[in-house]
Amino acid sequence: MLIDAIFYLIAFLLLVSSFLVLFSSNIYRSAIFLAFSMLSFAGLYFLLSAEFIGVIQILVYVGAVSVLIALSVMLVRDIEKSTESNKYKITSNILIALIIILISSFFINYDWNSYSDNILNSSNCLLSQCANNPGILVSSTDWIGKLITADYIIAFQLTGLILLSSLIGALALLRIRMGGNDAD
Amino acid sequence: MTLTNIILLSWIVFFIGLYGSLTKKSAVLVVISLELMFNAVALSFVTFSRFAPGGLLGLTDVTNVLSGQIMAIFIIAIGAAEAALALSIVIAMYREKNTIEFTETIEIKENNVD
Repeated sequence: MLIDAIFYLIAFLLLVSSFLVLFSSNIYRSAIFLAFSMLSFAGLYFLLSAEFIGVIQILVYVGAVSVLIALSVMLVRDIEKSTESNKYKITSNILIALIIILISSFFINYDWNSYSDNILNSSNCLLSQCANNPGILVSSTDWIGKLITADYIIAFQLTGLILLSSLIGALALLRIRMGGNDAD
Repeated sequence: MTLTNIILLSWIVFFIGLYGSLTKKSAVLVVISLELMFNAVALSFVTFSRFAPGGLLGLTDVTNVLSGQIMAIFIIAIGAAEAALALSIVIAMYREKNTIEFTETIEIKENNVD
């Protein structure tokens, strides 16, 4: 019951903050509410007993990406008009409504019972209680480390390559423009 | 806290992000909405791995149980790379056009072509 209460609290925080990301009147507040919604995601990961993902989420999104976004918010000239919609609003509303109907038909027709029947102690198992139960995987971090260097080693190396190439790409984008300005 | 609750939650956040990325004018808000969509998908991955058949029941099939969490790690890494690259594009766009609104840059480009 406690887990349920915490889940509904975090879900409420997540929904409210992600609505306010889009519908607040000031783009600075949007960046702050983005950090709040990322924290709510991290709380959900902790509830799902994925502690490593939660910590990574806090480090990467709340720590790094929010700072990047807050820095780039400084480029906005007109703060009052910065959260306006573009001129394709009606077209994209129709598109989104079609996608929502498509996915909700899948959501309603899917047989979710094949998942729900197999949950053991999903709603009344706190982490300390799970530790006393030997059949339940408590710490997933060491297994993630073992799997990511054994089964997923190619994807892991490719992720490093993607990070390196995005770093080089970001630097090259800025350097090319600076060189062009010097030539002018 | 059941599977359908969390999947519904991530689905709603995904559509909030989709709505923002399609309708907002400012490039920074589009990047923010893309980050929301990334995180909603990562949340559904972690949820399915938590509630998978046999999930958290034993250590014998740990690959099946934890593959969703590993996919979430990759999603987070690629999302961070995407944010850095997109915001450098935003800065380059600001230098070129002196604005970071998408519709305005499209209009300027059309005028240049004409």
